Parts: sequence; C-alpha cells; structure tokens
Amino acid sequence: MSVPTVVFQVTAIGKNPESLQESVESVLYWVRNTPRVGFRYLIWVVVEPLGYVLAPRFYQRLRRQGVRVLMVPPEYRTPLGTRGKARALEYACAQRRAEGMSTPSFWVYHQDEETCVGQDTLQGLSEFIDQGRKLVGVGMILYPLDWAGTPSHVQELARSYDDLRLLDSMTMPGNPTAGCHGSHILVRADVEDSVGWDAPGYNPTEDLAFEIRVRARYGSVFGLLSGFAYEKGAFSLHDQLRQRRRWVHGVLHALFRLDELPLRRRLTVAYSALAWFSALPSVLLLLGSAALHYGRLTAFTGVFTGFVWISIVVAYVEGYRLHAAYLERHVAVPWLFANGVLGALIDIVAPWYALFTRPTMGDFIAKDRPPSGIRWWQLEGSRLSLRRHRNAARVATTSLRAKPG
Amino acid sequence: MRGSPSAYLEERMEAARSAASGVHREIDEMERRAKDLRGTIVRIERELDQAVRELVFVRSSYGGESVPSEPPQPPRSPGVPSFDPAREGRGRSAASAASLSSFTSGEAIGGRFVRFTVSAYNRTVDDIKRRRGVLAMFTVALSAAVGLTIAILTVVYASASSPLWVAILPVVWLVPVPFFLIAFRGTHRVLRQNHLKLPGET
Repeated sequence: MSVPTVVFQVTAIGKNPESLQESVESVLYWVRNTPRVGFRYLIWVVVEPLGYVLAPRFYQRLRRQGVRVLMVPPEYRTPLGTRGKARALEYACAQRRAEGMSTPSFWVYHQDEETCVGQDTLQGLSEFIDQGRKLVGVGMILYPLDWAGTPSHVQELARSYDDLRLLDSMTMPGNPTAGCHGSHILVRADVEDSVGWDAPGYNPTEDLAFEIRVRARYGSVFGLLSGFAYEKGAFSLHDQLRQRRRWVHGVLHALFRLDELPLRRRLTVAYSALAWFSALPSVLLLLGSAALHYGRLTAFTGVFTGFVWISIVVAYVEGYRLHAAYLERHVAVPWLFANGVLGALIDIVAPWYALFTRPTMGDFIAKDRPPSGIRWWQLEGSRLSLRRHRNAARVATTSLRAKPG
Repeated sequence: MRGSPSAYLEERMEAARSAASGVHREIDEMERRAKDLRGTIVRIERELDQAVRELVFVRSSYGGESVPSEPPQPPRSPGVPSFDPAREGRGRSAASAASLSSFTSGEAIGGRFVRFTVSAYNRTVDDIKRRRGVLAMFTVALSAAVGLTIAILTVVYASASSPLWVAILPVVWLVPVPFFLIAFRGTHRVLRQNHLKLPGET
C-alpha cells in the first residue's frame, strides 16, 4: 500500500485571514518539526469569493507558501443545491474525485480557519492512520488561542472537558448523546467523498448531517484521535449567542428536515435538544422557588439536581485545568466565576433565542483578534451601537421611500 | 358704491377658507417632513461616522491591505481542474519536508503554536488521567451533599399544601439528568480505556 497522504483542509468563508494564516503556518511548522510522522501532506484552503476579495494578497502569499487555495466559484452548484459551508466542502470533494484522490491512501483533516495544530496533533494523526482500524477520527479541542478570560472564553473551557463525553459518544454505536465536531476530524478521503456534503438547501450544522450519513452507510467507524487541536472562542457574547443559535438550528434541522436520520438517532438527538432547552426553565424554577413552595417532590428531584450542578462545575474546573499549560493569561478566580456564570447564561438562553429567530448564512463569527486595547464589553457596545444605527438607517430609508414625491 | 352681495360670495368664501386650510395643512406637512429629514440627516451622519470607525477596524485587522475594487478571477474553472503534484507538494513526507526549501518562500515560521508539543500534551493528559478516580469520587460525594442539603431544606420548608401544578414543576429538573449520567459514564470510560498518550517527544 502506498504511503498515506493527509490533506489539511481549511474550509471557511475566508474573512478571518489572520487566523487562517496562523492555522496554515502551524501545519507548515509542525510537519517540519515532528519526528516519525508516517504520512505525506497537502494543504488546501477552501474559501468563498467574498473572503478572497477582502484580502487577495494574503491568499497569493499562501500560494507562494505551497498552499493550494481553492476559491469556490460563485456559479458552482451541487446536484442537490446545498448552500453555505457544505457547498464549499462538497466542492473540495468534487476536486478530489476529479483528481483521483478519493482512495484509501488519502485522508482529509478538517480545520476551521482558526484551528491550529501542534506536534501532538500530527503524532495523533499519524498514529490513527498507522493503526488503520477506523475510518473517521475525532479528538479533543482546546481553546487557548487569544484566551482572555472573557465570559465567552470561559465558556469554552467547559466545552473541552465535554469533549471527553463527546468522544465516548461518537465512538459508541449510535452516538447516544448526539454530538459532533466540524473541525479536528480526520476522514478517509474515499469515505468522505462517497458520502459527500450535498443536501437540499442550507444546513446550519453540516457536520452533524455528515456524521449521521457516515454512520448510516458505514456503521460505527469513528475512532479516537489522540492529540489536541487548538482553537479560539468567540470574542463577544453576541458572537457566542449566534454560534450557539446556529448549533440549535442545526439540531432542529436534523430533527425535522433530515430524512436519513434513523428513528433511534432522532430520539437521542431530540432528547439532547430537550436537555439543552430545559436549562432555562430549570433556572427560572430555581429563582421561582423563593416565592413558590414546590412541595415534597423537591426532596426527590433535588438529589439529582445536585448531580447536574456539580457536573457543570466540574466541567469548568477541569476544562480550566486542561488549558492551564497553554494559556498565556490567567484570570483571578472571582472574575473567572463571574464570567463563567455570564457565559453560561448565554448558553442557557441560546436555544430559546434560536426558536424565535431564523437560521441565517450570515452568522459570521469574527476570529481575528480585535485591535489591542479593546475590551470585550466595548466590543459588545460597538456591536449594539452598529445594530442600532443600521436599524435607524433602515427606518429612515423606509420612511423616505414611503413619502410621496 | 353699495350693492347687494354677490350670490356666490358665501361659496367663494368657503372655497377661500378651504384653500387656506389646505395651505395650512401643507405647511404643517412640510414642517413635519423637514423635521423627519433633519432626523434622517442626523442618522446618516451617525451611520457614516460608524462606517468610518468600522473601516479603521477592518484596515487594522487586515494589516493595511486595501480591499480591491474588482473581484478576482477564480483560480481555475469549476470543471476538471489541473493537478500539479510538484506545485501541490504531493509526494513529500512530513519528515522530509524540512529539506525542501523551495516549497515555501523561505520565510521563517513561528508563532504561539510552537508551544503545542507532545510533551505538553502528554503532561496534560497524564494529569487528568491520574486524577480520574478522585474526580469521580469528588463528583459523586459533592453531588450527594448538595442533593442531601436540598432534600433537608425541602423537608423543613416545603409546603405540603402546594397546588398540584406547582408541586410537579421541579420535575423539569429531572429532564437533563440522564444526559449528565451518560456524560459522566462516558467521560470516565474514555479516560479509563484509552491510553491517549503519544509516544513521540522532541
């Protein structure tokens, strides 16, 4: 069998060139500085024309570094007419099929534009491919890049610890707690290209749909990928809220629009969504207990409530410990606590917010570092102010149009 | 000269009154529109100010690169693209890539990611695996303590005469419990069964 080749594929709109640059450079750096890596490599950056237009010189520089920049042509249409990120991913699949790369000796490592790799990531990839037992590898993601201890950043600490749950779930038959990663996953090219990313319309979480399809066609082929990937959280609560909203829309899309979802998976996905939705009523009930006396039933439910609370606290604490070696900045415990609570409130509200807003392809999350000196609450303020002014301009335009003459 | 008033005087007066009233309305309307227009101008000025700030932000974020006025041409046609293994770096092993200086422009690469080493990873993984047992016991013990406290508080303070709809509300707290139980089991299973550690270190 020929030497395996890993395609490091960064798929993005391309509006975060700084992050993308760092992501690509991390690959270029570590492929040169990691011993005993048993694969050859390619780097693909798949971007939308909008991103390319914003910084063409940046993409030309990437080309000079040996990176293949694929700009998804505006006129490109998939057979089923998928839109958003899935369209770009399907375009990359089409390129591989056309170039004869859809074979067992090619592997695709998916990265978001801010996904940096480390020496451990590459060793993990090498080990996974060498073992050759599974077709898809999933691993843990840390969020130490640009970590500043803001509410949205503290929230990501718990996500890393939750990855342990997710890895177990994904490597089990049926994925009982319904989780998925869109980045830091390694897929054998023939598997990915046979399943593809094409689906009717826009799917907010194309990765979940992909996981469901792979599982339906190939069974339990997901294995654990050693090594972390290194990413960054949203810089503002507003972005965090929009990111979570997209996830919820993705779950609802899978539940109500994804025909391939088997009944059993549909139930587990529905239950996971229900568990998330129950967070806000739970908190409201807790606050309500000051005024309402719930009765003796609370003695029974309270036992389990304690377990849920402690599990959440453990996720934050252990998430912080997982990141400890990588954070450039440490925050005082009271601030950490306060920001953790604020970030958690956003996550609690997010599913309900998603229920009353429509999915949008414009949910672009800024990942390039804001200019130095800007604090997270100033970011929130500027976004709110921008939105207010946009609304004012819209109202003014409408009223001008409505006036006769 | 005096004479009898025109038979149409009343009608003409009515027309004049109506015209005056119309003019008044028009003036009011013009005043209102002028006020709206002033408001719109203020909003436009604010929006322009905001746009300037946004532009400064974008410029500082994009390292001073100017946004081109024309869209770029796609790098190749969407059909069957050409594939140049030499240009793409195909056929190079990761280990031997360092010797292929022609692959890059020769720029030295370095960044925050140089800290992401196998040894740092192994230390982190070792740490959490070593504490797994303590972590599990701590979670269970603290959960029991919190649960017990809630139970005691309930027995002491709960109202036995709550209406049914109020009494059953805490059932909502049970909804996520299976999820967290599965998560607890899964987390500890991953830590117990998988070695996670990587062999290669620099």
